[in-house]
Amino acid sequence: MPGSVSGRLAAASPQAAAPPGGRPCSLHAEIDRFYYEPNGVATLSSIDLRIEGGEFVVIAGPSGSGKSTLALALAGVIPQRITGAGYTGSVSFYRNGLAPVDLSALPLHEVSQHAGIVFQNPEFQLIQYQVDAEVAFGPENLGLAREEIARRVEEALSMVGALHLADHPVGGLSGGQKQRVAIAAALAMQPEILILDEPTSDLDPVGTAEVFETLHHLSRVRGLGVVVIEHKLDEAAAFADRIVLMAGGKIVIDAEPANAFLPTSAWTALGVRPPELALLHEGAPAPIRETAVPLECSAASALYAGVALADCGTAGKDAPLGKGVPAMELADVTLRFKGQRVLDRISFRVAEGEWLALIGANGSGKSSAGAALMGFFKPDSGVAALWGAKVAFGKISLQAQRVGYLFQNVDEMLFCDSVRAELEFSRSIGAAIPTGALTPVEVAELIGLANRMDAHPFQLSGGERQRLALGALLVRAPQGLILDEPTTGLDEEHAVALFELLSRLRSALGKLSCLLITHDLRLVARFADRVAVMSEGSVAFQGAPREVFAKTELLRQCGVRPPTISVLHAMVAAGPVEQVAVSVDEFLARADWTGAMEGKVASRD
Amino acid sequence: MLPAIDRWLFHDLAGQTFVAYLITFVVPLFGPALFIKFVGISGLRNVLSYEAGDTVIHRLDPRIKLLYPVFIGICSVLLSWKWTYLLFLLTLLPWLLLRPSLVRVRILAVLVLTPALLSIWSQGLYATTPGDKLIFAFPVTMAWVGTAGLSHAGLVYGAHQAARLLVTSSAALILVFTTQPSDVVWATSRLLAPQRIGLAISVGVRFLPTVFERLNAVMRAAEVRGYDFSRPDTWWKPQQAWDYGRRMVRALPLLTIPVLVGSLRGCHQMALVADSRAFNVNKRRSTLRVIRRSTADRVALALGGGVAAGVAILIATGQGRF
Repeated sequence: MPGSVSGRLAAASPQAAAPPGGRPCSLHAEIDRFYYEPNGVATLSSIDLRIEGGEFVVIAGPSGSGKSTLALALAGVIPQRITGAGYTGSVSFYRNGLAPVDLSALPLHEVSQHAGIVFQNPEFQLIQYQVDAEVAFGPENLGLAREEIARRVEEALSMVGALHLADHPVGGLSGGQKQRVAIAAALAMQPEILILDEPTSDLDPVGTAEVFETLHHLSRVRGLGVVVIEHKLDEAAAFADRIVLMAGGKIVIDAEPANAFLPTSAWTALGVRPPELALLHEGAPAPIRETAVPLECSAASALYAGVALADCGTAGKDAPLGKGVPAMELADVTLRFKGQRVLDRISFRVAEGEWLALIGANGSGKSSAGAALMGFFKPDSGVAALWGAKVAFGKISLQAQRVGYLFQNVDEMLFCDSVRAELEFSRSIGAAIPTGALTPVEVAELIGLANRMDAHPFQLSGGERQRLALGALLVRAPQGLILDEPTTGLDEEHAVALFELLSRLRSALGKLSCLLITHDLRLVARFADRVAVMSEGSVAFQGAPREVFAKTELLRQCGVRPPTISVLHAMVAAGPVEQVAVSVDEFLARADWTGAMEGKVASRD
Repeated sequence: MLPAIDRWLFHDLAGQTFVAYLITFVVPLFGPALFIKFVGISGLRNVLSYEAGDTVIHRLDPRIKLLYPVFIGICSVLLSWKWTYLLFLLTLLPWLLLRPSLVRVRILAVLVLTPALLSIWSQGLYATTPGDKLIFAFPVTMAWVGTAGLSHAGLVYGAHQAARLLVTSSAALILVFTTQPSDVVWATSRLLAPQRIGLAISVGVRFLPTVFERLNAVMRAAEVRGYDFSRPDTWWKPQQAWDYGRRMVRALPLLTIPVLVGSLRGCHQMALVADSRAFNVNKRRSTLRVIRRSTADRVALALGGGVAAGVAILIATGQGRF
C-alpha cells in the first residue's frame, strides 16, 4: 500500500473508526474572500460554515449566489485547481483526537480522501467503460492492493444500491444510475464528507428521491457528512439536518429545516422558492402556523387533520380535451431503439390550441414521443402526423415549418455571436416566414431580451439562454411547440420568467398548440389543459391535471411522484377524492381550517 | 462512334480538358459522397468506440493489443508496398475472429478505404518528377492546377502510402474496438509509458462517440430552427447536390461552436475528476481486473515473432525493402 495517505485511510476510515451515526469528524470553512476576476465582486465573502460527520446539509440560493463556488472550495478545487484572482481563508478538516488538516493546502487527491465532490453532470465524471472499472479508478490510482480495491468497489456500489450494475457499461445507464455511479466513485476514495453539486438536476422526482434517500442513509448509518447544493427544496428539505441559504456570496440563513423557511418572504425575495409545505404552513391560520413547519406529507396531514377542502370543481381547466382540429398526433406508434421498444403502440392527440403535458419516469418514452413527432426517428409502425400531414422522417426542417422544438439542453441550439443574430438567423433560413409573424425585435420584447440584443448568447444566464432559444423558434411563427424539459436546471427566478413568457405566448397566440414534456408538475399544473402519464412506452392514463394528480397510487405505479400539495390534499380528505388542489394557493382558497383549529386550540387550552 | 469519342476525349483539346477536369475535381468528390451515403454524422458514433464481446481478441493481454499497431506500423514503414499489402491481409485475420456487425464493417470500409483511394489519387497527380511516364497528360488549359498529369510513379507511390494507412488503421482499430479504457491505462503503465498517454487514449475512446452524438444533436437543433440538412432525393441533379454541399459547408462553423464549447467544459470537469481521484499520483497503479497470460497471448506473441522474423528476412534479402 504505497503512499502515506492510503495508510492513514486504512487506519482511520469512517466506517472502521466510527460507530454508525457517529460524528468523528467535521469540516470547517472560514473563507474571508474569493474573487474570480481581479477588481470584480467577491463570489464568496465572510463564509463561516461547519459540517459535522453524519450531518446532511442542504445549501440553496439563487443563480450566482456562490453555492457551486463554495462547493468547489469545500472540496479543495479552490484554490488548488481554480485559483481565481484572490483567495483568503481556509477549509479545515477535524478528526477527533488529531490535529486539524488544512484542506486548502493539500493536493487534490488527498483532499478527496477527506472531502469528496460529485459534480452536476455525471456524463463527464464517468471516464471508464464499465461501472466497476469506474469505481475502481481512484483506488487503483492510489496503488491499493487488489483485495482492498475489490472491497471498496463492492462497498461503494452497495452503499448507493448499484451493486447489480457492476458489470454494466456506463454508456447504457440511465441518468439516475449514472449519478449513483458517480457518487460511488467518490465514495470509493473513502471521504468522510461528501459534497454534491446539484446531483439530481437531470433526474425525475422518483430518481431524485432515491438519490436523497441514499445520501440520507449514508449520513445516518455510515456517519458520512453530506453537503448538497440543491434547487429542489421540496424533496431535499425532508432529509436535511440543516438548511443553508446563500445570497451574494454570503450565508444569510443557516438553520434547522423546521425554522429555516419562515418567513418565506426571506426566500422568495431572493428568487428561491421554499418548499410548498412551508408556503402552505405560513398561509394557515394561527395557532397552526405557530407550530414547527412540517416538511413531510405524513407530518403535515397529521397536523392539518380536520381541514375540510371544498370540491375543486371543473372550472377553467376542463374544456373538451383533445377534441377539435388535430394538431399533433401519434397513432399506434411503435419505435425500437438498439433492440429495445421505447414506444409501444402509443396514441395521443394534441388539438389545435391545446396544451398537453407528457409526464412519466425517466426512460418512459416521453422524449422519444416528441422526437417521433418531429421526425427525428422513423417509427417501426404507426403514424405520426402534424395538422393531418404525415411526419416525414429526417425532413426535420419541413416539420419545423409548423412546429418549434425546444431542446432540453438549449446550449446546443445557439450558434451565433449575438442575441440579434440568433433571432435573425432563424428568419433568414429555410422556408419563407408567414406574413404577420413576429419580427426579431418583437420576439426580443416578448422574451425579455430587448435590452440585450448585442450580448453574446454565452454571456447570458441559463434562463436567458432558454428564453433566447425559445425566441429563436418563435420568429418562425410556429403553429405548435414541443418543449422538452424546459425548466430543468432553472432556478426559481428564471423558472418564473419562463412561466410568464409562456403565459404571454398563450395570450398572444391563442391557437398555439403545445406538447410539454416535463417532470416539473408545477409547470403542468399551471399550463396543461390535459396530462398524459406515460409508462413503458405508452400512455397509461390521461385527464385534466387535478384529476390525474388525484390518482396518487396510479401515478406511483408509473414511477411518477405526484406534487406534494396534491398528495397532502388526498391524505387530508376524509375519503377518496376525484380531484385535488394542484397549487398552494388553490389549497388555501378551498381549505376550511375550522376543524383543524378546534383540535389545536383545545390542545393549547 | 467509339473511335470518334476516343479521338475527342484523348486527342482534342476540349476533350482532354474535360477528362482532366473529371480527374481533378470529380474523383475527390467520391470521398464525401461515400461518407454521406454510407456513414453520415450519426454513423461516426459507432466507429471509434469499444464494443463489448467475448472473443479471443477481446481476451488478449491489453499490452499485446497496445503494441500491435505500433509493431505493424513499423513493419509497414520498412516493407515495400507489395509486401505491405500482404501485411494488410494478415491484419484482417483478427477481424475474422472478431466478426463485427455488417453495419460497422460498411462504415469502417468507407472510412478506411476512402482516404486510401484519395491518397493514391492525390499522389498520382502531384508526386511526379520530370521524367515520369504519364498515364494521362493534362492539356495546356489545365496548366494552372500545377501538375503535368496523372503519373504512373505517383500512383505507385500513392499505393504505398495507402498501404501504410490501411495497415495501421486496421491494427489500431482492433485495439480501440476490443480494449476497455481501463485496460489501456493499465497497459500503458505496465509498458512504462506515461499514464497520461493511456488516459488520453482511453478518454478519447470513451468520449469520441459522445462528441459525435453531440454533433448530431446540434445538427438537429439547427434543423428545428429551419436549417435543412436533408439529403437530396436525386443526386444526379447537379443543382440539388450543389445546394446540399453548400448548405453543409455553410453550417460547419455554426455547428463547431456549440460542440467545441460543450467539449471544453466537459474536458475541464473530467480533468478535475481525474485529479480528485488521484490520477498519476503513483508511478505504478494497481488494478482491480486480474489479467493472466493465456494460451491465446502466447499464440499471438508467437505469430508476432513470426511476422517480425519474416520482415527481417525480407529486408535482409532485399526482396521486401522499401
